[in-house]
Amino acid sequence: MSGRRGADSGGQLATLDAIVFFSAAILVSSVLLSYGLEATKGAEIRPTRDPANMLDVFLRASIGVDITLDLSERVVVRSNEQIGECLAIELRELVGGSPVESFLPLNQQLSNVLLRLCGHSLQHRLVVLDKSSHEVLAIGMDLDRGARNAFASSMELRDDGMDYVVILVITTCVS
Amino acid sequence: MIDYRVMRADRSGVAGFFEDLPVLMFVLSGVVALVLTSAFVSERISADRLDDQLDTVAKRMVDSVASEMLFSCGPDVLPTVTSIRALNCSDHVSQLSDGRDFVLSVFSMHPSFGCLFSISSNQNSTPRSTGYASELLNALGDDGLCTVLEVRVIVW
Repeated sequence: MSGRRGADSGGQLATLDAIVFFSAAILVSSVLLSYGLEATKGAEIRPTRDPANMLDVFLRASIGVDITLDLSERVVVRSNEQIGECLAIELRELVGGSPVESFLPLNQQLSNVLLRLCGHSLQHRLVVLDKSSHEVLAIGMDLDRGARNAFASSMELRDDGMDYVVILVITTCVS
Repeated sequence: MIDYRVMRADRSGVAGFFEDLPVLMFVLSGVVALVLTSAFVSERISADRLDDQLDTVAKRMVDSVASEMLFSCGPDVLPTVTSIRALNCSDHVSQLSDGRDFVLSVFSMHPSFGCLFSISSNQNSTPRSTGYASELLNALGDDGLCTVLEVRVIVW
């Protein structure tokens, strides 16, 4: 009887060891799996657009359509005007006290151009700050604050002795 | 006369076998879990590495073609859409692709949208993994507008 009891307790010990081994294997597998999935998730968040390249090209491009603005007098912005120059004129007027509503058609066209360059998988917002980091102009979508991936680039814009910083922010729509 | 010793030994043997089955099951399950997870993770990592390599090749191709386009009318001169259309860069692009299959397309993004031209390899292989890169550049259109072009490359 004593021999039988010894064999049983040995069997229980072996089972216990196997359970411990199994638990350790599951733990190691979970760690490996989370590492592998995290590495893959990191690869997914690369932007399809370089914001610096996009901002540079955007500011050099022509506006594309004729736009009429109702300022103190009627102003026609020709289609071949550079976007950077249009932006500089708008900023000068805004600093001079003109309401931003007067530039609604121009801002809408700028937003449309940005949307075309970004594609529908990216959200965009163009912000212009003055020297004291005060927001002078903001064009584009209201960005999702919960967005996981945001990429930005900035450029200096100089007009009539005034320095501005133009910032382009793009975010992926999937948060 | 029954030999109780032999019977006891037999009973122990049978019991021992059935007692070992759960042990075997736990050990095998643990080993299988480890092997499967390792295989899965190594496969994902190698796929990511291949994606990175392909992205690097695509980026190199895009940079090279875009700079060739930018200087198609000479340095410090804005290239024209006509000069970009006339550019024959298929041999140059094929050399940069390191023997991989690719599709290079140049699109007009603004003010009008359309495909200017597209170059592709013979496309013999089935894509297992792909690399992608794109770059925007300005060019003077036929109507005198400064257009935005996009160079896109997909490599596999």
